[in-house]
Amino acid sequence: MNDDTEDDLPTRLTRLLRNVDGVHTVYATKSLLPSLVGAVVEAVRNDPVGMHLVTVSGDADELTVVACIGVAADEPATMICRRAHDALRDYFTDQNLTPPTTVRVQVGRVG
Amino acid sequence: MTNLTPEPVQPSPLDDDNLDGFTVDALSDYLDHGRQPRNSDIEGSAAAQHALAALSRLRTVAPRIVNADAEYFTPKHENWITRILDQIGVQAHAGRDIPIPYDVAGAELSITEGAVRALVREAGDETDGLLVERTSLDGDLTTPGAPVEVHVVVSTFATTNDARIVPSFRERVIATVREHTDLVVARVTVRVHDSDITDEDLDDDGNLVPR
Amino acid sequence: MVSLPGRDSLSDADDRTVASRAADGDIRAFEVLMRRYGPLLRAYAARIVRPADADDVVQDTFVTAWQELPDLENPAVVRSWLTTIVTRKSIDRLRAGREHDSIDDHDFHDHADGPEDVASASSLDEALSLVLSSLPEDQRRCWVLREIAGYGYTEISEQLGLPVSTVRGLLVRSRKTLVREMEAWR
Repeated sequence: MNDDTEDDLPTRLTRLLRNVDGVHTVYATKSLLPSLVGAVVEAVRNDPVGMHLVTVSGDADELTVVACIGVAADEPATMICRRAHDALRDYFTDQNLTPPTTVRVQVGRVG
Repeated sequence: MTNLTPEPVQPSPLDDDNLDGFTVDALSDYLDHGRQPRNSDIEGSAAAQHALAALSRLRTVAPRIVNADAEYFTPKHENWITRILDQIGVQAHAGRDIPIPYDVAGAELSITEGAVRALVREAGDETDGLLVERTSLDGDLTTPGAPVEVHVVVSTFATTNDARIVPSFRERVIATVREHTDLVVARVTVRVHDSDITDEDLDDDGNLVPR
Repeated sequence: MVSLPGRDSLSDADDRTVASRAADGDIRAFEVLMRRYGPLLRAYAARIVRPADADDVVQDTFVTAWQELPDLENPAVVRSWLTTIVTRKSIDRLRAGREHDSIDDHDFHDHADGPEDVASASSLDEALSLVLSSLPEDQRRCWVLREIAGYGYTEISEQLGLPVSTVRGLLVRSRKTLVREMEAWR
């Protein structure tokens, strides 16, 4: 059974990233400050569904995936970042999807 | 309207009958101006003096009223703090993007300047006896291999032996930046209070040497 | 999770140190500031806007504070700086006219309990706090802006959209009421 079918791609990628060793948080890739109101932030905090933490943009021929992560401090952040990148890219291969042109992963916090 | 029983009214120094012909408005202005220029009518009236004293006392108590309120307003839930913190913590002050080299086509990996500065602060937290106040990274952070300088302002506790603590803190800073980034750290400056400690102040083993 | 278990030293540190750290981007230090002054700012905001709106005003205050902290020249005065921001935000809220009827005041201590409460107050501060709550809105706002925020008559008049003469009248009445209660405690 594939329980991913209901979710869109960004949500699936967000979940995937959360399961990468050393990644402890997936942050929203767009600044929420201009629209910072209780409800929106609450949504981010409690449940990412509906909030695109990982952003996927462009069309099928030229996809860009953007993610911002918080990583544990017990391994080099550079290593975890590369691992997260690989996991994102592998997902497209595993699912027989056209691989993204660009995969951008930013480490926003260590520890 | 129902019948309202008038509450027993206690005399107050600001009652019209007790003001000797002055007004609360005028007396407040006089008080606001530090009782200058001196008004001998007001200064010579016992009633006005009582009223001024009362207004002045009220002014002294004013900040305490809001402080007293604060007890009632202590949040019952942690929610209001966490819901602000979670997002602003990473989104604001992220600073520049420091590239993480990776030889894969289409990979754009980076760590934020803010994340690295947080690492420097945490190096201070792990060092007993000092607290990091300010951090900065100087240099071309966005070009891999370019030399960068780390500047840190710390305060040390009165009982801290700066000569012992600061070198070990510096070592931690260098180690953590090396571990988590590919930055080339050319220099680390630690400012304790008003004195800078730089590479020139340390011997080859990283110990502090007197200038 | 950004909110971190912290060492005690930061929460015990003085305002200057904590505000410096927060200005440097340390979210944990900012959290210390929020805990230290959040209740005070809420209490303060609740004197100007409705208690139910105070939460939003305080949230808004801290978001602005976080953005503007790096520009605060003297971190030691962070408390009064925050008070300035919360005053501005409270007035903004009033002006935006978003003070429509609110459904949920329950999370807050009800200040409008009337004279019984004043009689049972255990301290002068508490009694005055209750009297302040019982004042009509305009009187209370004028008094708080004048005596706590230190605004001048003209400034209050502009901010609240009332003629200066009205502001003066409201202040006289609020002072009379508060002084009467204060003197009863002497």
